[in-house]
Amino acid sequence: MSVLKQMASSKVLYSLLGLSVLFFLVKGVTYASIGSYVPILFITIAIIILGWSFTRCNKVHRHIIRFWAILIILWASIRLVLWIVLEIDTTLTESHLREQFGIVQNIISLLMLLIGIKIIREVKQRKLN
Amino acid sequence: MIKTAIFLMLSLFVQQTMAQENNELLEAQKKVIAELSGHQIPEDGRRIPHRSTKEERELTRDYLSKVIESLDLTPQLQEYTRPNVNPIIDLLFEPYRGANVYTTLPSTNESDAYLVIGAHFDTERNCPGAIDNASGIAIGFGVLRKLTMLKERNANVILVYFDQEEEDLVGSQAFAQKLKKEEFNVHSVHSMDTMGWDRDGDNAVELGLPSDLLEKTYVEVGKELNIPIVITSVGSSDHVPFLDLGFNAVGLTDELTSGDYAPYKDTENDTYETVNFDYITTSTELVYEVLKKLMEE
Repeated sequence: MSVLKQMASSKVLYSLLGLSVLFFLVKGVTYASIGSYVPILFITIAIIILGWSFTRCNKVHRHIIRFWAILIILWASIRLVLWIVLEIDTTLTESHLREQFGIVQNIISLLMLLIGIKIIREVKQRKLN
Repeated sequence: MIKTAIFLMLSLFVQQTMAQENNELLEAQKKVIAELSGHQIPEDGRRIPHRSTKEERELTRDYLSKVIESLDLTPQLQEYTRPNVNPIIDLLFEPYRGANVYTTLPSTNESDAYLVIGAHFDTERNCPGAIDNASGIAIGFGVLRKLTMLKERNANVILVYFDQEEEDLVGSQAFAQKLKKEEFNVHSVHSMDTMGWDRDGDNAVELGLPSDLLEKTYVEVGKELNIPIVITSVGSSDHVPFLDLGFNAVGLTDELTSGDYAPYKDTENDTYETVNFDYITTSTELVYEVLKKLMEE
């Protein structure tokens, strides 16, 4: 099955996958523009591996997408846990740290968590046939 | 006899004028510290309780711009976005965003050399920051005000108020890089941090990591003004990013290593009432005389 046909057969899954990749791509480009290359390196490797997985059998493709989803869930979970810790522990005074957990940032973390969970469910249900 | 009388009268007049100017300067410095630490509400009615959050720092920048305008100089903002200290953290967090406030006092004689005086304006969360570092801001303001009154200046002077010193010296890093990138001919950088405490009344100032030239100049001027100068290897303030980029920079503070150091630093008790204004005056005089001497050389 061609990549496009495969994507058309699971629109929700690939839309969510694309959205999550786009989010980290924007992050990567932003950081690259100020001289920090770890985020762009991370997303470039992720895109290469995800792209390569389309050329492999369904099983490998599924495993790789699931692994990406787990990474997103981990990312979102770490941020949400940190936010809760900061809410409890008021002695941590660094402003930059606290500014990471405003309303918008927390909504993004929550959305990424839901996207990760939804991707795993979609992979499981649809089996990417 | 008449000549002597005229001379005495002129001397008296000059002395009185100088004393009046010094008093006015001290009052202006007190006002700056009072308004920056929430002790007094600025004329625009917007109180600055602390200078830590994004909103508080923005408010402070507006205030500092007005302070600079009061010297008939043009305030400028250097907005920056900087990565986190650890690149792995960049994956999790947003970058640092802030802005330094600065102004340039041009030389009266043609010169491409710059003397830089700086002090950070941010505080730890929920700290009024009267000594750390409204004191440094007031001294920088005082020095620049005195320099504006000089008839001749052989170098340009940049006064910069750094953002986010309390967060890994991000603001001063950005400013040091700007000076480097734009190839400013910087003679020296003098960064003041936490200069409002002097329990033993000896007026002593600590110099962190000075070059030989700066050490010599400060010690000489210190002797003339009866201000002990203590040399240390303290490298935890805004002079460090400049040193890292190869600038001739020094950090000035009260007696951090000698023990006569602001005890309420980074607490909610770092208030206006704890500031030693005699120390502000002597430190202002010290930095001013050093800069004047460096300009003459």
